[in-house]
Amino acid sequence: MSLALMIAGLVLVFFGALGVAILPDLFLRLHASTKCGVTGAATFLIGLILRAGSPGAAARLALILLFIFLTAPLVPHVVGVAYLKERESGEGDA
Amino acid sequence: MNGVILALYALMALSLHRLFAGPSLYDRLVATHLVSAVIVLLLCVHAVEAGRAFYLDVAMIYALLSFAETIAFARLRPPARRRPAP
Repeated sequence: MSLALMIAGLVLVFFGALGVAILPDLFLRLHASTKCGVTGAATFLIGLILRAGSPGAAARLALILLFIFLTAPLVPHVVGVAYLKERESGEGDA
Repeated sequence: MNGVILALYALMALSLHRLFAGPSLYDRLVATHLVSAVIVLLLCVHAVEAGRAFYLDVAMIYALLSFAETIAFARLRPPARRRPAP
């Protein structure tokens, strides 16, 4: 069960990395990296929690999972807003 | 577990391609964020493999720092280069 969850997370992160590598636009890359990266990392970490030997390790993994969920929406938002501002000012090299 | 670790390294290489090739700063930031997420997963796998819970603190601090790094780069970006007048 834990290995199956980890492989599912790897597949999700693979699609995110593939999208970041081959999609042509910044917003498409944000779309791929955010959703696939977060859900993949979460699935992977849940699989790892099942495998963790001690309750301390499981609690730390759950904290990392919570932190990823809390901060993951902020990064693409800030990056997208900064990119839009730079593009509207017309000075960007993007 | 070794296969999982190898697959994580392959995913990191795939995202590193965008980090090196990305045309703008923001593409590189997106790639950096994904690479950081994969590094956090790698640290967690190594910690669980070694059976030491305190190695996971390193992964936690790295997740904190990568978040702060990406936000700081996006907010405090360098001023855009001015194109030379035609």
